[in-house]
Amino acid sequence: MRRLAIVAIVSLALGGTAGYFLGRRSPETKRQEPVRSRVESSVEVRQTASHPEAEKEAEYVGQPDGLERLVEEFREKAGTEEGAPLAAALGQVHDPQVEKLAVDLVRSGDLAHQLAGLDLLDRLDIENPETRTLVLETLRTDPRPEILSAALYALHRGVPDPRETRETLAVLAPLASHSVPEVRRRGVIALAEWGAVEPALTALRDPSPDVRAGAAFALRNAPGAADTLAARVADESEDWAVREQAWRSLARCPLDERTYAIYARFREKHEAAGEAGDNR
Amino acid sequence: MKSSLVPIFAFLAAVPLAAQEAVSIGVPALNVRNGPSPDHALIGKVYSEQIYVAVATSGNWRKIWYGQGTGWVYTPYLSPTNAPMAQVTASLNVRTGPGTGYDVVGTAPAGSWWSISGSSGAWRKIHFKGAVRWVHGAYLSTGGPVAPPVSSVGFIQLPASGTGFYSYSPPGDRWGAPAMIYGLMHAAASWDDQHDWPRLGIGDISLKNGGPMPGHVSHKVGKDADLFPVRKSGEGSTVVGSSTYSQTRTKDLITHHLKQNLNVKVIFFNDSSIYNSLSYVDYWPNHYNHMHVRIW
Repeated sequence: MRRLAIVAIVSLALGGTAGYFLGRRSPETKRQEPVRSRVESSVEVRQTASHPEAEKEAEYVGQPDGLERLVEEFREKAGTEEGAPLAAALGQVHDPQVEKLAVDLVRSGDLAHQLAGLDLLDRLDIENPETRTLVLETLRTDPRPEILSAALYALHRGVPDPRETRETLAVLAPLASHSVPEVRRRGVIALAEWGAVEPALTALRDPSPDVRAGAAFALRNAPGAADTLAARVADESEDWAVREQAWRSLARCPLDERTYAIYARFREKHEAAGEAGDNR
Repeated sequence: MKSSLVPIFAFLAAVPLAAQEAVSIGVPALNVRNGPSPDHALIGKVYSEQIYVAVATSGNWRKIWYGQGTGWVYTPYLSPTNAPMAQVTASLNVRTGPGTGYDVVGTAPAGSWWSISGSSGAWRKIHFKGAVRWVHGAYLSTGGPVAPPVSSVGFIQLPASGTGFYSYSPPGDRWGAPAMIYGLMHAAASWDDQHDWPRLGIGDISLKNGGPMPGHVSHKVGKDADLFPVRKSGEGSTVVGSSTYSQTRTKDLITHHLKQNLNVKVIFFNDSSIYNSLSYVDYWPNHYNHMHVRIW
């Protein structure tokens, strides 16, 4: 809850430009809100979520150089517990300064800074060839599983340019058979997001249930995977989490009578599973 | 002094029945008390032709399973019946209708006994606290053995952003059970599919390996997540009652996206219009500027 206050206050502090970017996803959100309502919201949030860190962040309020100061502070504190809430606030500001900060951190060579930079790129979700190239290069060359995992999250699908897609898939493909299950899991999900579902179909037979569950989730937009997903759902010896994810993805596929019967049988089991236990 | 000792003595003299017995209510309305005498407090009523299960006797009083506990009713107004009975094998939701879309109105404790007066698919009709209610048959002694879900899958991390959502928490506080993380991602994608509205703001879930999380009482097992309520415009925080808060959008988020894609057990959120209309949303102190989603 403390982070609610920090994000609200820093957003308020960053002013007009940041306000524009805070609402970038929808045309209606690009309209500037009246200052009064933003102040009102911030004050109310602070009243219901007071925390010492919120007080500290209040120094940014109304400062014209608030963003610059925030960027510099995060540069010093990136990768630390103190810097984490700053990343949450910066991640909502689409500004070249913030993007440069993220790129600098990824290139720093320091593990904590690199992870903080990749997390910031993940938050920013900017379609920028330079940052995409940086992330792909990281995925192609860095051997560390934690960096690969963070880079897989930082790699967002952009405009489906065929050449770019081919390049990306070529970098991602080896990660689907990486020795670390979490890299494989993120890898097959990323591949499916870029349109390659075959690795996820293969990963449904991965020895790790974490990877199989991720593969089942990755197939949520693969209508041709109904039979394979149904087989996972119907397998009583399969891990429950894998069956549950396969069942949720199966629900999005066109079903014939046989696959629907499998879907409906598991729905009964799922419904029953939620009925027992400590309910409140 | 004397009058207060009588009911206590009578209570101590209660004798368990050799076998549970289904009993039908033979009067339009019958008091249910917390002990075997008219001096004991009234805790509710049962009604004509409803059937309950008696498990003990004391003088002219029978102890029946009434709601989340037992109660005592006057025996001369009861008639034994051959109606089928079943014992609850695990603490079980009691709903207003035969399906998970119906409201949860109580819990039948493990070990409690109920008379089954009807069926609808996997659901069984019982009388519970004077009303017709429904429970899932899988957790009744008549339902056959039920294998609980077994999973060895560990926590996974929510990305910092994705289709329809962003996180306002640091990487270390975004870990949870697969059902939570994938469920949130499904919910956000469905939100994005159906609306041209701002992304969902998702906050703390759990630490990487679970356990106590600073600033939270719960959030220990990867099955709790905080979310921002939805604003009328723009992303970010808001609070119930603020001019920026959208009740319509927030209710849409809860009913059409969170409930449909997550195994929602309860949502704590303090918009009275919402928690008064949705059985799975409850008031909890300090939940005006975020909603807390708990899954099973």
